[in-house]
Amino acid sequence: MRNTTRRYINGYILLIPTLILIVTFYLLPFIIALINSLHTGMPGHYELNGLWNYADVFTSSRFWNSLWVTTRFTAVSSIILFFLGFILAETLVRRKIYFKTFSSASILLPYIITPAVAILIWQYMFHTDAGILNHLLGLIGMEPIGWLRRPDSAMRSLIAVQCWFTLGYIIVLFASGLQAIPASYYEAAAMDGAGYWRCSRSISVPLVLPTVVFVLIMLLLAGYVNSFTLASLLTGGGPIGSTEVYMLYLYSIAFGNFDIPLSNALTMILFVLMFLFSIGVRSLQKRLFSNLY
Amino acid sequence: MKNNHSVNILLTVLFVFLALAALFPVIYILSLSLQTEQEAIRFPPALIPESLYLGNFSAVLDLIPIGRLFINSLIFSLSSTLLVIFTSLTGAYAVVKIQPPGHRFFSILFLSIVLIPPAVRTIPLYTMLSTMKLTDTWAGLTLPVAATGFGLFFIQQYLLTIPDSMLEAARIEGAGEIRILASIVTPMAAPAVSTLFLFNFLFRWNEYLWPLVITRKKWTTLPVGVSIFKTSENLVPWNLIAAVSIITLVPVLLIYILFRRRIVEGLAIQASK
Repeated sequence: MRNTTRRYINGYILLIPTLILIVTFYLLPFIIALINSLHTGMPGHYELNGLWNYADVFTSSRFWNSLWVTTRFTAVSSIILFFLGFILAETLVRRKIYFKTFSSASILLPYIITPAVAILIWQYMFHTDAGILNHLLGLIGMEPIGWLRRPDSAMRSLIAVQCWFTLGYIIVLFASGLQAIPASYYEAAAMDGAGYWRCSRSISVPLVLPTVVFVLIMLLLAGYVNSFTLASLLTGGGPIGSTEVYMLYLYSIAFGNFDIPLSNALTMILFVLMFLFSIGVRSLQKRLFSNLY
Repeated sequence: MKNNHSVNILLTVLFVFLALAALFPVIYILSLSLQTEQEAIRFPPALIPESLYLGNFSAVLDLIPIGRLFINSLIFSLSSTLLVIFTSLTGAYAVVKIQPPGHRFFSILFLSIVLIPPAVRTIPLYTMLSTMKLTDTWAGLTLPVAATGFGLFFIQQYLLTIPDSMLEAARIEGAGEIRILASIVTPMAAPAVSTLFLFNFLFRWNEYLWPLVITRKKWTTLPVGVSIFKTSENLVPWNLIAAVSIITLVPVLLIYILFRRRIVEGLAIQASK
């Protein structure tokens, strides 16, 4: 009895540092931000402003533009990464590929590399006049492309670099799910005369579903929340706002306009959005698994 | 059979092509960092430098306080990682293996911070820390990331695989909980701790948004320094930016070359949870 009490006390002592850090740096900032979002003015001179920041946000065309840009960016890059990642992972796991270690190690490398550094070199490679990409295109007789100069091609370039960063990671995630499937399933199916694609459809796809949910969450986060560095350093949001993703808009409100309360309102909206997404993915998960059993 | 063989060759070619596309920007940075300024600004650009010119690396030392940036990055990455390991071990051990009253609530609390995307915290943290005058300090930079949902979750999952009977034996012999954690559990969790170390270190070393927002000059890290170097004056030639980039990448590439297998395993563990 006394031993149990002492154990519990030790347990609480061990929890103290972690709990203090979580309360101070996870919960408290959100309470402060929520209160701050109801104010207006510069740091040190805040005045109560009610819900006007939120009203301003929802009537701002820049807000809707950034939401649309982020959604398009996330949707297109996620669809490409999802399908390409799955097909390549399955090929890597089930087919005999030579130099497999070299290839998979190289394809994962962009995921590990310092994004700021990689994005700067991409920006240079995309340069219309001096960039190496247009030079290489010239070698095979193609016209130079204004990669980052026009709204539509800037968005495509942004998506291309996002795929460059993330493809290896998605392959690893899918491959780990696929490797967990016993080889005997495929052998048995092959014995019954099932071809490669039939095995894909009837064995790989249903059995990799648990991984799918995790991949989807990671893709959504990468698109919606982690796209700041990419857009900020590759295009700066331009031309004419065509690549201004949500986090970039939020950042420029905070440190371009110095409107911290408004940027906190934007943070709250993003937070709610992410919460709704996670509920959506969860219900998708339920539906996927109810089909499975 | 023969048909199968040619399919394999074709797929190998495809993967080697993808691998080269993945490597290309890195190889190009390396090449630029070894070119003289005349070579770097010449058109058409060259992928293979004429000679291995190392002058860029000493030239950037004069232009930006690269040593200071490197040390800042190292202090930030190392100290936050050690703190994360400490808080994850103590927090996860208390919740999983001691289970004091209320442990369910703490477990849910840990899980709920996993669900907060790090970038969403940026402005709220800045709002709070700037009123506390903690911008551009070690504490302001590091303490907000000294306990992470990822770390707690990762160690928690590992501790669940350690049987309680091993701890009971030590408890019967009269060992206190803190001693059991320090001398039995921590050595047993070494594989998970070292994977956490690698991930957390890489993540902090590579981080851009958080140091950009919270540091001014004193605590600027390498990725932020590189971007400022690039954007402050448009006239900085690319051979110099590439040299700074390579200095930033050296620890990352070293870790990747030495511990790639462990990193891939760590990613796979996350996906299977």
